[in-house]
Amino acid sequence: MSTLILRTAVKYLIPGMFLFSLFLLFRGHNEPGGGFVGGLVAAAAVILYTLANGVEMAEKMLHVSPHKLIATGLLVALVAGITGWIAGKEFMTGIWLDMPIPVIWKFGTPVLFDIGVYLLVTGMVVKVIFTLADTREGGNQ
Amino acid sequence: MMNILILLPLVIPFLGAILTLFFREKVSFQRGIFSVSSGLVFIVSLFLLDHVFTTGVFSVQIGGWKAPFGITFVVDKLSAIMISISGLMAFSTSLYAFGSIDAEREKFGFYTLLSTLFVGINGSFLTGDLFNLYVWFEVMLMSSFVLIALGGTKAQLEGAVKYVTLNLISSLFFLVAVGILYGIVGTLNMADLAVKIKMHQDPWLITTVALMFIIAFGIKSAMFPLFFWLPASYHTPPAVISAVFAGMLTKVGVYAMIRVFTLIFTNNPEVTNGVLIVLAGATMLVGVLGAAAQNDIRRILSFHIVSQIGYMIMGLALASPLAIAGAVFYIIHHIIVKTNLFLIGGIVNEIKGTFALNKLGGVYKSYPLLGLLFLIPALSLAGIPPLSGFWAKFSLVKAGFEAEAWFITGLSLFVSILTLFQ
Amino acid sequence: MERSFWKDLPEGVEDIDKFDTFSTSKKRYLFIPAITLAVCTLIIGFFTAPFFDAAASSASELVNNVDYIKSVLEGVNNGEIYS
Repeated sequence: MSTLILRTAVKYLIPGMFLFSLFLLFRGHNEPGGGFVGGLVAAAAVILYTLANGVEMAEKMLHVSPHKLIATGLLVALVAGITGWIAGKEFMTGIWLDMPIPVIWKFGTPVLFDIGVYLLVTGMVVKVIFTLADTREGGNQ
Repeated sequence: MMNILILLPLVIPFLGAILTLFFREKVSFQRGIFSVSSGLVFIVSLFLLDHVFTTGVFSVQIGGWKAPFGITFVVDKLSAIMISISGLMAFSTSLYAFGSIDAEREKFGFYTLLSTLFVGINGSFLTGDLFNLYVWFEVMLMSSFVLIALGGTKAQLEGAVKYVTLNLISSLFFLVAVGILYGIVGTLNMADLAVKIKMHQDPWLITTVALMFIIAFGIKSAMFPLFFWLPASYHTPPAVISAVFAGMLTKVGVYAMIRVFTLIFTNNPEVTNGVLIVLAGATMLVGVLGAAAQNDIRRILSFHIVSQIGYMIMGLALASPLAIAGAVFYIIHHIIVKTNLFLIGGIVNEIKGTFALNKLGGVYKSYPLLGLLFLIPALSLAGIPPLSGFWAKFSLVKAGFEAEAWFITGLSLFVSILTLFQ
Repeated sequence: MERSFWKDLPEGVEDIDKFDTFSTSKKRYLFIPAITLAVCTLIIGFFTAPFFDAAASSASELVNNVDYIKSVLEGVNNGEIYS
């Protein structure tokens, strides 16, 4: 799979795919999109890179291991739930900031939860692909 | 304060699972996290127990969405009891795991999976929503699938295939039944269901769905006729995993059965309880007969689980307060004793290197204290007075005579005599 | 299965005994939970009353489920908001 054409194309495709995944993530609250699809698109970008350059390079590009992504995602989602307690309400109550934030318009715990889902899905899919695609001795752990 | 406390049995092990994922390379750190988190859950559960027994049922609506629209978490006496036992089991098995589980499994996320398993178990005990119960069942099953196959020996994979297949079928039944019930009644909140089903015009339609729930929970709690996945799989993983499974997992199925048939499907008790009582009798008998033909310690214990699930279901099916009290007491006794037996079986294996009866012998001669330690749960399991198993069986038999259910009561006595001889 | 403790070792089977190879911490980890649970069994057996009372009161709560329903549907007009 590792051809010059793919490698060159990937270089230009990946920033676009990541941007698109973020767009899907933040659009998700009121319109089609959300953390899950966004995460899948982000994972697709990583997979494309893996196909072109191999697992080793992809791991280097990611900087963090997929486990850490999964764990961070879960933690962010949990924090989004616990924020309700801190605000003196029930677990997972939606709490929104009043001031608008550029690009993502409105920020609140549901957005935070979606970010958690995004990280979790990305980490999970990337982990599966790394494990399947790794041809090194001993495999990917 | 209470609305935080009630969710802590979920949040603490979940946080534990996340932290163990973060520190995947540092096994000793993971051990610490797991034992601390399970100890904390046990402490929290004691607070819950205290609160429920002094002030009564407490419920919390997630996200502040009122029932029946939001997801409800309820803690009543039964849930509080179950949560505290699950906390005790988590803590004691965590210690046992430190001494017995191999480094390979620890490295592959054993503690993460065990934490997630307890998240699922505690969630099942606390939820007040049928679909949410399904979700917790899945959380529990997913981690148990991995735990039972972790290590990847041939026997384990063989057991895991049976375990996974049967449990997926059960989940399918559960999901379909939940879907049909929602189509009929239009709600899945358990309390709301209880109100709506009492007023429903077509009790037979509801009874049909109730029978589907019997199939779903029946597979999960290893009831006759679909029990064979349990003895086929529980003896394959390491002793500590078997112990957790044997203690907690089938009892989650029994808990779900008790919850559903005392709260929701109470409109046609002749049919549902009639079916349950026949299945209970068959489960008892098949379990104890199956145990007689086995050679592996863990397989004998697995068949005894099946047999004793029958007793619990019998208590539920007799449906008098005394019978249900007997069933609840039986669950408490059974979780503790069964886990203990699996742990001691594991110790025997650690010392002698085998679980096979025909290769064992003279353990008492060299380790009299271990023999005594084994005698306590074994005699309790067989129902020797004054150990816990006797009281559990005694109350069930008494309830059976009060209900004049001669046949099932006689059968239960016969089965307990058979258990005694093994 | 009690037999495995009291019968003699079958013929032709090598007697393995790995107990002496265990480290102290391993022994501790293996036996503390087993002993704790056995003690729990004994406690439940000999002091049954509080445990059985707890089971009995939870059973009466299950049979008479008004409290449960009330607690969940509190303030929702007894669950009949969209009938």
